[in-house]
Amino acid sequence: MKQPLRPKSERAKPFERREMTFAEKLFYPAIWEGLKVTTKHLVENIFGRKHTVTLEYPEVQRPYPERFRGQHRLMQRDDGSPRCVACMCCSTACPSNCITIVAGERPEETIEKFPMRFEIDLLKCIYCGMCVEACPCDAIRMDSGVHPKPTYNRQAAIIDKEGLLAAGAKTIATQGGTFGSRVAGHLKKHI
Amino acid sequence: MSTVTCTIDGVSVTVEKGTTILEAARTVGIEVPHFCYHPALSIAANCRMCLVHVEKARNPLPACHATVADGMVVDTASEKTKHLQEAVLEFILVNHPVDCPVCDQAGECRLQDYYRDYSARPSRLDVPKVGKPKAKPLGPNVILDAERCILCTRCVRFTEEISKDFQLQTIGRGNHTEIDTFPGTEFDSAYSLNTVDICPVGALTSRDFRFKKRVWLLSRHETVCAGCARGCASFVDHADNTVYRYVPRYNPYVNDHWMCDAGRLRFHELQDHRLRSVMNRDAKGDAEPSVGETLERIAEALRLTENGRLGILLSPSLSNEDIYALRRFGKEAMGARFYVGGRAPGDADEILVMADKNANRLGLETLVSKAALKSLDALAKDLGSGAIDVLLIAGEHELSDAVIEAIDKAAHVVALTNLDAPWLRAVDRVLPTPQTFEYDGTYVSATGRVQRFERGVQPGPSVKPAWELVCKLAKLYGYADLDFASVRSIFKEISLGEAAFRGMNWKALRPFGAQLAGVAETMSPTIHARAGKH
Repeated sequence: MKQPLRPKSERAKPFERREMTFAEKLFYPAIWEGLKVTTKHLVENIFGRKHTVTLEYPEVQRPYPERFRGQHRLMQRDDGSPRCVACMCCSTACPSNCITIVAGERPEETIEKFPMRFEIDLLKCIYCGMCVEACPCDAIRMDSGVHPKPTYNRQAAIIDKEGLLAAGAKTIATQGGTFGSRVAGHLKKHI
Repeated sequence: MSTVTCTIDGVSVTVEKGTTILEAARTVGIEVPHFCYHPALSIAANCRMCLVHVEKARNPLPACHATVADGMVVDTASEKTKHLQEAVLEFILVNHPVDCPVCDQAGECRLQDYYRDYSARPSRLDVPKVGKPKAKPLGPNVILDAERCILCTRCVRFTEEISKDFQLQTIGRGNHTEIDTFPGTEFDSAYSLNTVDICPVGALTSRDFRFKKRVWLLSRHETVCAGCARGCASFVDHADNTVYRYVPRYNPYVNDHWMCDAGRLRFHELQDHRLRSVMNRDAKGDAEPSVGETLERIAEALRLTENGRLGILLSPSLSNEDIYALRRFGKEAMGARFYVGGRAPGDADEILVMADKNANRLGLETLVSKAALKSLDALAKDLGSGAIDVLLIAGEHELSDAVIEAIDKAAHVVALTNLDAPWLRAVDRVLPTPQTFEYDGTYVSATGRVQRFERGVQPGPSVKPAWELVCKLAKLYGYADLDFASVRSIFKEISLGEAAFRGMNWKALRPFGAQLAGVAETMSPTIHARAGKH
């Protein structure tokens, strides 16, 4: 008996089952075909190593792609202080709420805001890189290429400001962004 | 008054003669960008952000200053006007440091918003920006970042027109103009933090709120400042169950756009000295006694008390609903005597601050008649003569040593209160109640405005509003009539039963509240000050 017709949007596309040919019904040609591939790989892997796609991990490691997102680091200014100004853009962008920042004030500096606390909970982090994209100061980066290490307790998986800074380095990026592209070309002539 | 009809962006607008283009556009929902215009201040027309093209006019006109005329054709959104807005923004941004990541205003900054909406193009500046003082304290509550200032002079006009203490001025010329105080003085106005609110950029920031929280992480609830009898309509901004700031909310009948500094900063005291746990003088062990078990004991004591031998000390800082529940229980079940305490009076001024520091005195005197409320001296006398066996203290009080001593002699003293206070040492059982920003209710301001406040942050698990505790107590005591499920149901009963509140509706109390019957409607004193506007 025919099923009652459902609305067009819900209907599945009709699919005609193809009759198998006589050769397919025998099965043996197909099994032979599969065995041929397996045997080829076996022989190639034993005698011709250059075709092998697997690596002898962990002795041999594949190089990471350039944009691999590893453990975070905090970049430094020339005097070694964090470039971070505690704007909270990273913690706002973070989908897993793993960044804790407490802002402080240092009136003697030109940039008077700085992070008193900056902590990342690596167990919560999903390594999406949103924090890096949100950062207006090139302060947080995920280009360390380091995998998060396993820890014995949860507390050890939280890296603090000092830990993040130690992994960081000085950068040549201008604090507060660069000039607009139009001006950049115009300036080049003068330099 | 005669009216004029003009066309703004193709929409025909009929307004009173003398209305500015900006205000006329607002009536049909067209927002003209502006920095220096503020509805409560005089018109300066110095930022030029509101320039619009008017047909047949020789030059673009500032919409905040130009008044509409019959047949005027204004365009606020065409390419031509957009070009104007872009150009003005570029000029304003010439010396602006664009330090948004560090700036507290980011997220509620007009310059940031308008840049996104009207310009959003990179800077063409190739000369160094003019440097000015950063993070310069102007007074105890306000910090100036002169580089961020766009010189709209809203703050200067505020001190001239609203707070009337003339504490700010512009100094210097051209590029080097700055906002500053007069030499040797500081910006110590009692209303200084209002300039932080009206500052369209991050030039003036609050020392208290500075760097505490980014504004986009704050949640906002409507509340009423309980600092004095004015009852300023305000917003409570909170995050992570902590209050970060109070911001005034426009209410022309109460506080206009303003609020005093003391009222704004009072939440610190309320948060830091609040009561969180139940206290029972005769509790055994270290465990915190539960609310239920404490109420059970109070009910037990009340059952042994003869009619008329319960005293209830009410605070004019309690909400109407708390007072109503206490009154009904006290009067109907116990034949109680009522006394009135509250916070001690303080300073007053001609703007908003009132001497009476209790938020709801008029509400208390309306719900429990003034004649039935006896003074603290009468309480001490009644306690001394042994006329009262059980005393129930509700709300916030400042009591003298003599009264505390008298209370100490009472057989059984129960407190439903929100703040830690010296008189708590004379109390046998304490049940913590929430702060204004932690529960729903209504207050009646000294000018008779009934205003609603709502819960922003969650109080602790053992913190219950007084009306809820009283309803539970009544049930345990055996008085089943008092059975309210919510604040709304109490307010409904008040609005049905009390003549002064008749016809009020819980929902209709927003946004500006309702006027108590029998009290003449008044406008905010700051509105009287600026005659000819509103």
